[in-house]
Order: sequence, then C-alpha cells, then structure tokens
Amino acid sequence: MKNTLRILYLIVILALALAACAPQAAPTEAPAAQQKIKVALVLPGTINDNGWSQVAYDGVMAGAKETGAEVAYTESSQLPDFEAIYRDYANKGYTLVIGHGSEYADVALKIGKEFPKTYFAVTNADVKAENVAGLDTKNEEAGYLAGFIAGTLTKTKKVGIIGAMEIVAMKRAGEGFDIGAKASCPDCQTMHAWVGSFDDAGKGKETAMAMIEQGVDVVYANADAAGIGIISGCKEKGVMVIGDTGDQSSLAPDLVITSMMQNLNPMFVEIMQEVANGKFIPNNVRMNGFDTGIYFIADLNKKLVSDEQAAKILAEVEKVKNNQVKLPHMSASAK
Amino acid sequence: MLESILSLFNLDFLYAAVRMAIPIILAATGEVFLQRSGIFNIGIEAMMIFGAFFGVLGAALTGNSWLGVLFAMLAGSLTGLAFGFVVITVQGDQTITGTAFSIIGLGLTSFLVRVIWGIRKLPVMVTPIERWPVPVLSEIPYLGRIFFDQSPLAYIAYVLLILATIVMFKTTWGLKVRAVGENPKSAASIGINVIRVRYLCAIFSGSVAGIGGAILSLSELNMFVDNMSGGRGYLAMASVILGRWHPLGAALGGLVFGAGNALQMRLQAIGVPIPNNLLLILPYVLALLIMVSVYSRSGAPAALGVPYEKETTIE
Repeated sequence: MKNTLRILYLIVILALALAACAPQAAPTEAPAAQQKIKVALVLPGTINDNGWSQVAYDGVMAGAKETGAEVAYTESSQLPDFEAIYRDYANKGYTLVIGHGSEYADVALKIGKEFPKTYFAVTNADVKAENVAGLDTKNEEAGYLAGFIAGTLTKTKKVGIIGAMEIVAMKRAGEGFDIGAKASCPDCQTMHAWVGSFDDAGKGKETAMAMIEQGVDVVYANADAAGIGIISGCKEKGVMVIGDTGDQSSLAPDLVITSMMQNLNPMFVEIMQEVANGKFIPNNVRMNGFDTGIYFIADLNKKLVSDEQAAKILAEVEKVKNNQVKLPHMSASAK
Repeated sequence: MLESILSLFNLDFLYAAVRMAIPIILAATGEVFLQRSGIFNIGIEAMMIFGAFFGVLGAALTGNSWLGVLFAMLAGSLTGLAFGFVVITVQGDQTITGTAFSIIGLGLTSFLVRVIWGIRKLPVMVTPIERWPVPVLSEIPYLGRIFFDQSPLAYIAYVLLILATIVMFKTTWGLKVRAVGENPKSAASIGINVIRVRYLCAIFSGSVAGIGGAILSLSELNMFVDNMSGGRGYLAMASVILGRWHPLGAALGGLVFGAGNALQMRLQAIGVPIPNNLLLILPYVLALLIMVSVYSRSGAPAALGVPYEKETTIE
C-alpha cells in the first residue's frame, strides 16, 4: 500500500515536471492584415449572472462576430488559480487574455512579463504595460446618476445603495452615489450596505428589507444576481428601486424607476479589433463611461417620475455624458 | 449612535431573524437525524441547492408551486439516497463524500439551468408561495407577527421540528436511531437493521433539506439563481453541533445565524463605524463565541463518522 502511494506521488511529480517543461506555443508574428485571433475571457462570475460577467460574455461574443476570433472562457475563477489559468491560456497560444475586473490587474502584469508576445487586457482597471491594456470604466458615473435620481425622487430624504461585495467597481459606484444624492438633495442621508455575495439573492432581499426598515425609500440595487433579490425586497416593502446592468423593470414594473444599463460591447470589440489588426496601443488605459456609450440609462418609469423630474434627470445624464461632472476615480491598481 | 443601535432590536428585526432562520432550521432538523444515526453530512448544501432548483423546475413544469415543493422533496430524498449509497453501502469517507456532493450540487444545478433555460437576461420566474398569516395565531401580540405571519413552508418547518423532537426522544424509532449512532454493533446485535436506519435517516434528511432549499427559490424569491443556497447548508451543520444534536437546540442554532444576519444587515444600513467586512461575518463570530463558551463533546453520537461494516459470519 505504502509503495503504491509512493509510486503514485512519483508519477504526479513527473507529470508536473513534464508539464512545466512543455514547450510554449510559438507566438506568431502579428501581420498588418486582420488575422484569426484566439481570445480568452477570465470571469469572476458565471456567464448567466445577470450582471457583470454576463455583459462581458456578451461583449466578447460581439467582438468575435466582428473579428472572427475563437473564444474560450473560464467562469467563477478564484484568486489562487489566476496565475495557473493565465499561464495555461498563454501557453496554449491565445492571442489576447481578458481578465474581467480589477482583481486581474496584478496577474496580467506578472504573466504579461513572462509572455511578451501575448496581449492582456484588464477591465475596470487603470493598468498599462507594453502588452497590457487597462479597459477602465467610470463606475462612479453610474453610481452618481443613480444617487441623483434617488435624491430627486425620495420623500423620506433617506436613500440607499446595496452592493454585492466591496470590490473597486462597486466602491466607486458607492462614492458616486453619495455625491449624486447630495447633488439633487443636499439634506439627504445616504445608506450603504453590502450583501457579501454576488449570487445570494435571498440575502440580497433581506438586506434590502433591513435597509428599508431604517427609512430608506429609494434603493439602488448594484449587486448582479443578488440584486434580483434586492429588487424583490423592495417590491415586498413597496419601495422604489433602481436596477443595474440590464433593464430590470420587469421584476417590479410599478417600482423600478430605471436601470443603470451597461453595454460593454464597444469596449470589447475595440480591443479585439486592435489585436486582430496588429494595432495594439501599448502603455495605454482606455477610459469608458457614459461618454463612450458603455453606460446609459433605461427609460424612466412614467408612473413614478413626473415630467419635471424626468427633465431634470435627463439634463444631468447629458452633463455626465459630456464629462461636465467631475467625480473622483478610485484607482484599481495595487498600491 | 448607541440609541439608534438599540432601536434596531424591534419586532421587524425578530421577524426577519426567524424568516432567515427557517431554511437553516429545516435543513438542520434533518441533519440531526442523520448525525444521530452516525453519519456526518457536509453535503447538505447539495440537498438544499437541488431542492431550490428542482422546486423551480417543478413549479415551472406543472404551473403549481406546491408541486414544486414536492419536486424539491423528491430531489432532496434522491440526493440523500445517493449520499447514503456512497457512505453506507460503499463506506466512502463521509467528509470527502459530503464535500464532493456540495461541489457537484452547485455545479450540476448551474449546468442544468443553462441546458434547460439557456443564457437569459433574467431567470425564469414562477408563481411564488405567498406569506400566509395563520388565522387567530397571527393575532397574538408580538409572537403572532414573529412566528405566524410567515411563509406556509415555515409552518411545515415548525411541525417537522416538533415531530422530530418527539420521534427522536419518545419513540422506539428515535431510540433505534440513537442506538445506531452510539454503537452500531450492539444495535445490530439486538436486531436493529443498522443499514436500513441509516438509509432512512439520509433520505429524511435530504427531503427536508430539499424543502429548505425550496423556501429560498419558491417563497423568499420566485426563481432559481446559481449558487443561491449561499452556504446555508454549512450553517445548518454548524447549528446541529451548536445545538448539541438536539432538534430544538439545532433550531436555536439556526436562530443565532438568522438573528446575526438580521442584525448585521441593520448595522450596515445605519452606518455603524465598523468595517462592512467585519459586520458580514458577525453571524459566524456569534456562533463561534457560543461554541467556545458552551462547547462540550457531550451529545455527540459516539459512532459519528465511522462507517459501519456488517459482521460477516465465518464459515
């Protein structure tokens, strides 16, 4: 028995050693003409999370349509596995590896050094290197407008934002929310809470109800799949809510004011075209927001928003779109 | 600040605490039986997520959410049966098997969602099982609102809890379960069918955990979301240990988690100057504190986690 175990261990170690020595896929020279590229997308959630990861999947699929790229993706990746996943894709000869979220910034920079011929892109992050592109998003803008709308519609002068987890994107939205609410309602109080999960919709519902019991009458649900629960909690309590990512009005038609929409397609199409055409811009952070069209708001609910309020809100949306509202932009890179 | 914190302990808080505890209590009630019979089941998370998923599937297929609950029970029972097969008949390691079941449960349900409904903008929605205040009982001051203005599935949980306690301590059946968990060999020597008892406990545990999952997807919400069990299976297991393998104790353990969560959500909302990440772990810190202060091995079935091998007769 002991011997069998020893032999097994030996085999495993040998296999690992062999894998480590395996030749790296020869990187091809990038010709000027569009070439067939292989794109890997590394996601924190699932492609049907009704939020962050799903819009990235949609975006890369749109990019694949434009460039004819071959796409692979890894869902629900965990921090300890990032390096292995990245190295694996780079070894398999993927042209572009996209990490969806600031948490992939460090691994992209590190593996980027090891594989100088492979391109890396990190969404939501202000990182850059010779072969690493930051695809940063101004999450604070969505938060700002959600806060502005909440401040416009509140009667109790208490508005709240519920995020999934304390990640950069959601913290930025929270910062923006405070500023936005104060902009439309200077004496309003803002409340913040975190579900502690991206997919525990039941807990999202309870968190919303707990917040509403403290007097909040407009909630911004910024928590992916857990956000569905937040909207359900608002419905149970009869409180107005702002959705996120997609148009969520069907979840509570009488109470969803609007949704802060996200369409990351232009961002993904752009980077995939850059790589496919051999025109990757090194050392550059691409900034996206309402101005580049990745964010926009869904139709305002006529049952809840008066014409006057709608005009005020839409004017503010225009201002954000034209970059006339200055907001702090939290850095995502490691200190 | 102190005043606003104290004002959080109101009726709404207690109501939310009970509501959040119910799925955990249900799963824990089943787990008490299984552990008392000598089987340690970490795979309870799988039974809950299968319950949540098949509950919605059943409701979507039949158009009746109560039939969905039946689906959830069946799915849970089958998971229990499968778990029983691996740890009782094959005598696989209980911890590893349970962990494997949990991982498979989360993965398989996510997979089935995509196969059946595809990638959609919003999950498939079914008719929810609405809250149903019990006539008369719900009018009792305070208690009525806290306990009898809940989902009908919560009342099933109460009845099961009381029945489980009676069966466990007042019937021959309960005695058999406890005997099997304490000393299976002696139990077998007086003619108790150890394997049968353990299988029945596994199936029972699975079916009630399935209802626990269905509460999440059919009553709290009206849809299935990937990974929606959110670790409640593990909390149920912890409740069993906190409650020292007594159904009522386990229910109290479930209440600790419910109350801890209800409290941390409210503390976050009013903005107490404590980092949110610390508040989020409050229920677990509470559980740990209770564990450390009241823990003793007493109550743990002696043969917990030990596979039972039938004595073979030498020819």
